[in-house]
Amino acid sequence: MSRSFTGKILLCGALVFFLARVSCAEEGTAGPERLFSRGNDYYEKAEYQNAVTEYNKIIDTGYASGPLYYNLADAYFKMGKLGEAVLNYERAMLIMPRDGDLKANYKFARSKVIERPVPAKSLWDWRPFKLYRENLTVNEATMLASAAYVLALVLLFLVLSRIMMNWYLSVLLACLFLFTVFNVAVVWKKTDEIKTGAVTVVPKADAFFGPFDTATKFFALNEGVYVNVMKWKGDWVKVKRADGKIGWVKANEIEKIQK
Amino acid sequence: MIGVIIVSSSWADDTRFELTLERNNVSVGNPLYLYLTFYGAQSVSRPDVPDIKGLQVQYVGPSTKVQVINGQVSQSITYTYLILPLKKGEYKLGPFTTQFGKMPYKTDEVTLVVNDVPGLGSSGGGVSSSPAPAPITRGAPDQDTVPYKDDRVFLTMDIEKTTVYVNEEIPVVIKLYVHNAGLREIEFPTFPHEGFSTGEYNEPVRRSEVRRGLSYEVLMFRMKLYAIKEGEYMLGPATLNCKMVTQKQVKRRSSFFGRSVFDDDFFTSRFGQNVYPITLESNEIPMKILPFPSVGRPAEFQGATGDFSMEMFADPREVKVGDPVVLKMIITGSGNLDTVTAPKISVGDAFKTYEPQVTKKDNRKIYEQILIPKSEDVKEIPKVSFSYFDTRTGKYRTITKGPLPIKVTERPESERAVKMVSMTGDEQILYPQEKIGRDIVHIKENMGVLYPEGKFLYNSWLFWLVQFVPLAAFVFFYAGYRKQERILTDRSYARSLKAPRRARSGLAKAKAYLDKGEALPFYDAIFKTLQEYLGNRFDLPKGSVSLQDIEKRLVPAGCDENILGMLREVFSECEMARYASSVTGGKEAEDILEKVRKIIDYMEKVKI
Repeated sequence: MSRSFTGKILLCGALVFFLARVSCAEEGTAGPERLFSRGNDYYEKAEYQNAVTEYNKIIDTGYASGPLYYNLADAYFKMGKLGEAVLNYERAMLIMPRDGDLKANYKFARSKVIERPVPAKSLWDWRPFKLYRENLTVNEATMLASAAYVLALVLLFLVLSRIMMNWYLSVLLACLFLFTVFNVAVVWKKTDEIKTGAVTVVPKADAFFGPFDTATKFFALNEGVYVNVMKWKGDWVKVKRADGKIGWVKANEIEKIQK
Repeated sequence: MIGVIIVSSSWADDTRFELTLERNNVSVGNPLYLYLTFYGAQSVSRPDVPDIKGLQVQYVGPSTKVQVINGQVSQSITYTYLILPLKKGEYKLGPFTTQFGKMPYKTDEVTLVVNDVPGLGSSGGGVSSSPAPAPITRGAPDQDTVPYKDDRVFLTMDIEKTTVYVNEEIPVVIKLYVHNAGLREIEFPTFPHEGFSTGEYNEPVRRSEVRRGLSYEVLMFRMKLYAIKEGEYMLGPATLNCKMVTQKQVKRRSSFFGRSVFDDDFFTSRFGQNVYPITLESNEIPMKILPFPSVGRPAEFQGATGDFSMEMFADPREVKVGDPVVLKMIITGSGNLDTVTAPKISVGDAFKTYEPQVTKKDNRKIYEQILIPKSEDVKEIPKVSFSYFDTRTGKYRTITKGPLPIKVTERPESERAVKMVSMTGDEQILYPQEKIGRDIVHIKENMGVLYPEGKFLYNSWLFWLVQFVPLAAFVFFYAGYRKQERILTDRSYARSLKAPRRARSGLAKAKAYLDKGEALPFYDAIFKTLQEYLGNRFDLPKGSVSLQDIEKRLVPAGCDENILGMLREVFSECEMARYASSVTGGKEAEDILEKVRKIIDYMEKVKI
């Protein structure tokens, strides 16, 4: 009797342990789709912190998608973390820059950022160039440059070998060459922005003249403000604001767009 | 006759716009007139005269003039303004503009000097204390002309009453009496009318009248005057220009009244006539203009003078909030309609209103006022009052109409737009601004494709390989194309290219002869192979390749002496073998074959 009871207890214990392990295993190895769906469920229940946790689990695997960053940014926005929201909208823009919802949310979030307007000062700020640059991903611009380059080589062969000799072929060839160069420039510019771009993720970050606490304060960065990272030194980062002002901020007060 | 002249005459097309100042030097407080005259037409809009600091400008009214000279009709309209200098100084008046048809017209600029001492240098004759008629430049009679005085032809001016109120309308009648005389080219009379503005002449009326026992043909000119400024004035004298026709020979007409003095055949009978211009002058009439009495003046009185009645209608009487109600107010009566302004209506905040539209027809003025109720709480259109001064009784009168009950219902949400209806019937619907909420767009349901973070296409070696392939292909194909093109166009290049291939073939053939022990064919094949190779290599004609020719090319090019020696030996051996009766193969033939191979290899490597 006693042996039988003990056996049953052990059997139940083993079953519970097994189920628990299975459950844990399932929890630990949940696929990205499931994590994403779970994050969405949390979001719709207004449990934004849990939603952020689920989305970040996917990102921690080293993979990400545009909608993932978009949902993560939405969750941060609902939590009132404007800096994190802008940061993740920026990341989503790198992957799906032409998405209408994303554009609307990004614009709305940026409208909440307290930032001094800066007048356009470079050729990249010319509206047609800006629109072109903002609506293409790095890979799309790369592929366009590649396609134009291949086509230019084919046309160059046709022209040099005199198989086709028309003035408009020469013009087309020149256009393709310029288009190739332009797209290479776009790739270079976007890559530079991705590599150096960062966003303030604290309500207010002070920028100093030097990388130490006793340095004189130069200016302040509000939450969600975009800056360019110039240099890292220990726990300090040298950043450049859109108006050209350069200062040192603490590394934990900003987050780079490209991790 | 006048009517005939006017109808049959052509209008002069000399249009111009001129400014005339009564005087250009006055003292403070002395009023003067400004005349803006448009010649050539009368349907010209009133020019705007802006407020000038230091001067008080008041619009008096228009006056028109029609002149018939030699069948040519000229017409003009003069807009008169009364200027009261308030401050000493020099004032620039003009240029003023108006528009006739699509053409703009502009006057010149004049300077008005205002002194603070009365009577200083009044160039137009000091009228500051004199009620004398103003010397109207346009349309005034020629001051040098002596008025014609004759009992047979004279001019009179009559007016109903000589004491009038400001703004009162007074008809004036100017009569041209003609007895037993002929006139032609009769102009409309003109007369000074300080203190009054004038309307247009009615069509002249002809009739017969007996005066002091004589029968006269009478031409009556009727016009309305409007009193504009209180004071005592002298109206007239009216002057009329025409031409008198007299007979050189006495020729009695059988019956004067049987044929009128204004009949055409009288004037067209030129034979034996004397025609000369005359100016007729009428009597003057002293006038007194009284101000409006201050006692009993209603608050809403705006200067309307005459005897009027008012009707008021509203349509529709049942509307939704935001729909327009047209309130029509019709003022009818006798008197100066120009002084009638829109009746006052006080709607407060209950209605949205626009400027009333006004139309004038005969003896009535119609005002149409758009009223748009703002809420369903509006129950009525408030009462409307119109006050005028009755010149017959010398008292103010006020007509009040309304209030008019209306029913305003709430507009459904779906219809909350404002419909604007213009007087011409055009409609415009203004929708209220929609309140749009602002927030972020909801999350996405689909995660999309996952990519490794921070990896771009250009980071991949495969991408760069793909970029290299088209470049390599381009170089390959283009080089091939160039080579092919050179082969086709450069014969020596083509021969030098095929030389080693042909040589290898010839050597193989020679080797086959050697293996079979056929010495003579061997040497023959060797010689031909070498000769062909060298011919192709140096682009020499086939069969004419000699050792001397080859040496001429190889020696200056720095060819190896051993090779030259080998070449000489091969040529010599081949010559000997080909012309000898018997040749031997074996070791010597193999040496020759080897030497030829070495010569060709050397030539290909060194590329002489």
